[in-house]
Amino acid sequence: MVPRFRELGLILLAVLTVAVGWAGESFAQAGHVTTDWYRTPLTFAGLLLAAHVILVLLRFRGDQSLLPLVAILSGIGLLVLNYLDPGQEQAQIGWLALGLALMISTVVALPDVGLLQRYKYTAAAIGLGLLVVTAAFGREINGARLWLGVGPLQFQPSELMKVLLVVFMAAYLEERRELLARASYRWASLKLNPLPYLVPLILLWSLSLMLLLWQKDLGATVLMLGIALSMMYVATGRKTFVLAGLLLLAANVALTYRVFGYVHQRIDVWLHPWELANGPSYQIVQALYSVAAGGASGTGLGRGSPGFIPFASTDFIFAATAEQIGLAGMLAMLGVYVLLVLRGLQIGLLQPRAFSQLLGVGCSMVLALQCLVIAAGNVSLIPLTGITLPFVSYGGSSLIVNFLLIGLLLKLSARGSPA
Amino acid sequence: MGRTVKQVAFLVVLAFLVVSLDLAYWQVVRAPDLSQRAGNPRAVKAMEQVDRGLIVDRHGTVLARSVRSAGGFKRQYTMPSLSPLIGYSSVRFGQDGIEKTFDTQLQGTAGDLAEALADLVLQRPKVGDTLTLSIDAKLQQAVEQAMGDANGAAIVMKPQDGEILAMVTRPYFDANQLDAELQRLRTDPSGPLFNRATLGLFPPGSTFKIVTAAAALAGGNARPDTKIPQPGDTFVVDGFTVRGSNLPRGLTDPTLTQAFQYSCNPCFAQLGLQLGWQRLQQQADMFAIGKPIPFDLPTAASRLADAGADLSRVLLANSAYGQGQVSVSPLQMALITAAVANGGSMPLPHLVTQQATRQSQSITSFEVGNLGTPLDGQVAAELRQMMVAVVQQGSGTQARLPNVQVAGKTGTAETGDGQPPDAWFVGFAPADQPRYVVAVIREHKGEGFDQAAPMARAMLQAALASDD
Repeated sequence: MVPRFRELGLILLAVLTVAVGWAGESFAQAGHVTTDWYRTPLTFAGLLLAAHVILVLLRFRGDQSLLPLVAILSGIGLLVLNYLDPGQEQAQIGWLALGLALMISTVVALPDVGLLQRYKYTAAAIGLGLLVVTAAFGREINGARLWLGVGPLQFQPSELMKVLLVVFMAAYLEERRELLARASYRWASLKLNPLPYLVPLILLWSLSLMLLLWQKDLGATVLMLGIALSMMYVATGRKTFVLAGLLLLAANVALTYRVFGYVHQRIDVWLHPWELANGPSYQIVQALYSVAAGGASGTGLGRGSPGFIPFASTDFIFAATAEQIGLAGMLAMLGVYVLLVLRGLQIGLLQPRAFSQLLGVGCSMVLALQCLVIAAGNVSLIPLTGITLPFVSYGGSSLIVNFLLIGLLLKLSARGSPA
Repeated sequence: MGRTVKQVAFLVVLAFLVVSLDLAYWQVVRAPDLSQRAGNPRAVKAMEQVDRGLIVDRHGTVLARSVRSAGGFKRQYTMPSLSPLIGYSSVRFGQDGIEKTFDTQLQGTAGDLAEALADLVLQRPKVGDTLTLSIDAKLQQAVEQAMGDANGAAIVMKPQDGEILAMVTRPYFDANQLDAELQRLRTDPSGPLFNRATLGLFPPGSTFKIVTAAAALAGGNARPDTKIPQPGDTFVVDGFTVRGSNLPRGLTDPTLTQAFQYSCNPCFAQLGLQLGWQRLQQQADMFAIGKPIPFDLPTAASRLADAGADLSRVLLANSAYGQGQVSVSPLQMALITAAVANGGSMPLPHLVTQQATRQSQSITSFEVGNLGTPLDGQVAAELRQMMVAVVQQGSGTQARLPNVQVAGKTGTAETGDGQPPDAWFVGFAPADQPRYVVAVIREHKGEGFDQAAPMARAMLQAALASDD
């Protein structure tokens, strides 16, 4: 048994914060504190403390900050979901339990993160296979075919794709890193041209992009490209890759802007939200009203009208949260994300091997980019794409995969960091 | 690789900073603007969350209340005949009537700062102030019934302080049925959304002889016992024949009182010519004809003649007995009658007498005022005697009451659209110590003496019976 006092203290702080929020929300909704207000925060506390105790019993020596940071984010998510849709909130608690279990399993079951490197082509094959299967047999929900289902259970494969992409990219880049980074392009002499090494990479991108475009999942496309680009830059330090990648994205958007109505519409809505307020930009305009209604200090948990935004609990939970906790609360929440991402990057940085370094960076960037893309979309800084806010949005696939990322980071931290 | 990771970390932090700044832009800089936008459903919701104040009659009977419904509070009205006065407050259609004029008070002014703060912190619904109307719900009901099947308007008012005890306008609407009915009500040609008592302009017919007689008495052109120079069945002015002598057979040399009492049109046509436009206009101005009456509801300005009209002798002769282009609101006629009843001063009419917080910690009474003194005491007393004569032995005998002396004036106004004339009656009782003024118009029902006087009688009887 190795005590993890810092983690315990921070988890207690997170749990206490959430419990206070819960009491306030129950008070705001019922006019008094209901007699059973403590049930959900107690379950929440129980789950997190159980995860903590298991880590202690396992003599786990890794990071102690990730779990508390994730706890506070999940807690905020539950508080907001409870106001938007108590049914979803109950389901989310179940997903939270599964996510924590998966996180622990990753820490326990994975003997060595380095093993993942061997399975890079398996990862790529699984990823591509999932995409093809989804495109062919997926369930269409809200105009996008993103879901694979068996009976009542359904799963969003693009969520898992992110992890598979990180594993593949880390392994691939580790092998080719020297080659990719060493020589500058000498197009004239064609010496040491790294282009052949880039070919499989570009193929992978194009293929995934095409498949994603079939599925009309612009958010995931942007995310995948962002992950791949940031990992390439970290591995090689070449800005040309980033530029090329951005050009690729621009080309994809330009192409789909013409071909696919929905991309066209997303961009129009972004450029002219108010003119189309009663039509296609209804959602984003309602989101902006919601954000604005929060003001500096927010309407308070359990108050305000975030329910006016369609899909408030998934695509727009950032705006719904902003209404309730205001700018002050949002800055704190964004601060938690920054801490989470920086901690993840630090774990990556301290790894002894390139593969695990890249894996750490990749996992952190998945979290960072998801949060940035959806947050910026919610406040109309960039065109809106339908992705989830990690740990806060309602959704099992997203929550479980994000806990898998935390599991991987924890595993890395145990090996790499001196803590 | 450490350098690039740090660069990426820096970029991530920078991106979070940009998102934070944009968030601040919407939540702080743009928040006031966005909260006011028409498409923001929060404004509507905020309106539904207010427990609007009660509206009660002078005895505390509830006329309008807020009841809890699905999304918040919904307005409920107990007396449909008051809908044109009280109006409505609806999330869909906005506000009208007293609900509109006193919206601020009904939303709650919350005099107590601590209470307001507690409401804010505990998110208790805002509770509006209670408004007390001068209306007597029972009397309102009685007047509404006395109206029978006629369209038109009827007012019962206290002459001293201008309190409106009953105000009926027909047809009316039911503010509880607005969601289902408003589209139809808006296009209904009979105008149920339109308050005839305050906004309707009608030819006053012979009730206007009060104004002409006042001008003659005040200007010294005639005394009550002055003989009318050329009495007769008709009177011809510049080729136009005035008819309607109404004098009893055998009365060939009527005094001004008798001409008034029997409502002799040729007599008043002559009197009008004798007065001239200037004198008649002057008296009309003193009765505040020509200006909208300050009131708790919107009012229309009555007028002696249309703007830019050709002020001919024919028009003058016709105006003197309330035809021509004279058009008045029932409220205007009630006020003119009140001036006579008061011995000269014309009250400021009002409907809302009191505003109180729900727990009555703070009560504000609305000030009583007047609209000036259009008559001196002598003239008012003479007019009162003439109006008593109308009810005693003249055209208004059907307004007579057994134990109380009633003063009044009938009117039969040609509307010029080929339909039967509008029947009018204005009056007050008791004649020597007036407590109630009535004004009634029943559209297209015929003669004032038998279509309006009996209703005025019923109104006065009900009002006197309601005495506290």
